[in-house]
Amino acid sequence: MDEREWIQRAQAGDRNAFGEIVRLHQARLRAFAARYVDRSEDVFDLVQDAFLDALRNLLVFDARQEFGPWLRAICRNRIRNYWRERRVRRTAHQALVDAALEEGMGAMEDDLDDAVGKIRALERCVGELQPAHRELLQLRYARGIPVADLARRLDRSPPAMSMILCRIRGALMKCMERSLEAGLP
Amino acid sequence: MTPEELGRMLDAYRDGTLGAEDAAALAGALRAGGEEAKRIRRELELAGQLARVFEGADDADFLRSFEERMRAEAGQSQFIRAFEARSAAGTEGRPRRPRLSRRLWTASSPAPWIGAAAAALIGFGMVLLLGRAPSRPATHAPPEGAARDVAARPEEATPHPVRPPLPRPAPAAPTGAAEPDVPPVPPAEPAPPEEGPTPPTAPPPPRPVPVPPVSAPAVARVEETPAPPVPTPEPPPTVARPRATETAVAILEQFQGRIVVTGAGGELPVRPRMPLMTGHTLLVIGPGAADIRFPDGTRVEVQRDATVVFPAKPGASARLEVTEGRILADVVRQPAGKPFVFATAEAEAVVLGTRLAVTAIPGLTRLDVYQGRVRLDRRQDGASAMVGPGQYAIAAKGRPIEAIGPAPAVPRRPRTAAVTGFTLINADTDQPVPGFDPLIDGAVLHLNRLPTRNLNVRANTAPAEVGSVQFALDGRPFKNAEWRVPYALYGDSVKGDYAAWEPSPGEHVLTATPYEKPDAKGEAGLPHTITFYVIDRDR
Repeated sequence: MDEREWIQRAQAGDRNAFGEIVRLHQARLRAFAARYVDRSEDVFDLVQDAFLDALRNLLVFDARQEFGPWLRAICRNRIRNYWRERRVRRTAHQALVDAALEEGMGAMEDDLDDAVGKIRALERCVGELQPAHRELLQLRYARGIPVADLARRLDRSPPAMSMILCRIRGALMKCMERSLEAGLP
Repeated sequence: MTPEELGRMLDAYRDGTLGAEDAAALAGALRAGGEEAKRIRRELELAGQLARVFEGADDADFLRSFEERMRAEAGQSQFIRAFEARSAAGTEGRPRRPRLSRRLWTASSPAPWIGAAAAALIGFGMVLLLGRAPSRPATHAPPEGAARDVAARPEEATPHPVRPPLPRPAPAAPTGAAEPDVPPVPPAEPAPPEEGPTPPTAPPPPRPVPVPPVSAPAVARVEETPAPPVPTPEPPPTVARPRATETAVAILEQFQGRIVVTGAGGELPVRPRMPLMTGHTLLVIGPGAADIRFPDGTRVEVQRDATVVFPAKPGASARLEVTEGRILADVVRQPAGKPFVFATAEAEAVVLGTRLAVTAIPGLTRLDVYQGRVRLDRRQDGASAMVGPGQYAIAAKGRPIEAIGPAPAVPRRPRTAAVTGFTLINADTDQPVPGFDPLIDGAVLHLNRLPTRNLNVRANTAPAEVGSVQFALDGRPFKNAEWRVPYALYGDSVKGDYAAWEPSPGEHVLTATPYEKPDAKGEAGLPHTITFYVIDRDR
């Protein structure tokens, strides 16, 4: 059964069919949201909210159209909403950059099909890092510890810590490119 | 800009320390488009992807979590009604919500279709969870349109307890642009307040409440009809099982904040002086406390975010199980051979009469004794420690069980300064976190129940201003001493603007030492050390 048939069945009230749609799209939608939202728990919630929005509005969807772009548009609304809610916690300077990012939000969607592949490649590349670097990235990106705090913890200056992170990220990007070019999982 | 410059700017952007010049440069580059904008977006994208990689939640976790969301939604009749109406409209080609609603509400039972729809959604969740192909007949899920069919025959509908409405996520804001197929969604709700705990469901009664003492006749046997348990916020692992007979073992003398008591029949209305029965579970949600009094006069204060269970097992040696969090107890002298036993997953505290505190976090139990002597028995191997006044002991796998302390005596030489205590700070608001001022020794921090995960710790000194304060966390001293007020564990970028820190789950030992001069120089004052515990249910 193809996606269109699942959608039609879901529109007719078949919840199992909607479950299948969620299963088909969740990984790609999470990868999509992770491009704009750096807190993984927020990505998790946002994508679930987007699926619930889709379920609530399923009948207005024209089943002859592509479902993925429609779902992403819903998710994009959720992301915009998240950014708006976040504004009260942002500094004026962060807000300046946020606004510029929001204006060009569509510019990052030219290679969406690769979103899941990039996550897989990144997982592999992170696994190849030195344990200390992996731990550093985890502190920074999973737990959101500021660079100044990391620097203090590791007896470095903040600029030196930023430099280390930058080099690790650079190495990861190169590794991802190589993995994707080679078609590695 | 060089990759290093860009990396530094984006780190500052992420941490909220971005300067005006760098902000203008980043925004300008993004608006200008081209390669520079692509690089910035790629870097930001990588940050989100790294968070995703480290989150550890795989597809099955997502589907399981989504199923739970669906179950929560199933408790909201409005949503179910809307979905059912849509389903019906979808089958027949046009909306017919008014007719459906009218027909349903005239049914003899109160909205029996809710149960059917909830059952259908739960069945759908099961399919999600198990990853079954929907084309196969699902054991738990009704066939297509089953919910409507059942709704049309209310006498066949399965009764299903309807949950109280759960807080709904904020709906998405309308974009008003571009996407013609995007469904209209309501505008954003106002952002939640930055500070403060979850509002209590019931207004806290004034303390103290005069209550007559519980006497032996107050211990009564009460018959209750078993019923399916009603879910409560974050139910503890040991939820009381339905029992035909329950015995009152204590009373809830008074309480502050949000308290939940569950029994065989589910959640019970909480009121001062309510009897607490065998099998009951009492939860303190967020800041607050509950005072329990036993018939012999023993008093137990269940502190914030703690859960206790009154054992239902006949003849159980434990009088109270501390599932999670901290309790403070004043145990009256017990008859010989019949000690008062507090049980946790790891240990039992056997008490003959004393003042003590028991703290339970996953994998670890801590006993603090203020008066008398208490034996701490470790379940794992039966090892025990006798803990005296001013001492504490920890029962955890792989650690020796022994009495520790009392704290070293104050040196005789007069000190010029002292750290008098700690305060947990909300780094978003730069204010103390309610309930954690002071942050006491043995405190338990539930990260997902605090108003924020952006935290810091302030050392309070006497006098209020000292030369510097040197922090050490888990035995590792920080490189730089704090030299200006406030003395913050993780620093403050501008005076009083605390940097954010999210502590890792587990046990932490924090020490702060004041010094006469900046950079931890000059005479050292009196240090202060606490141990605190961090629980993160999201990890």
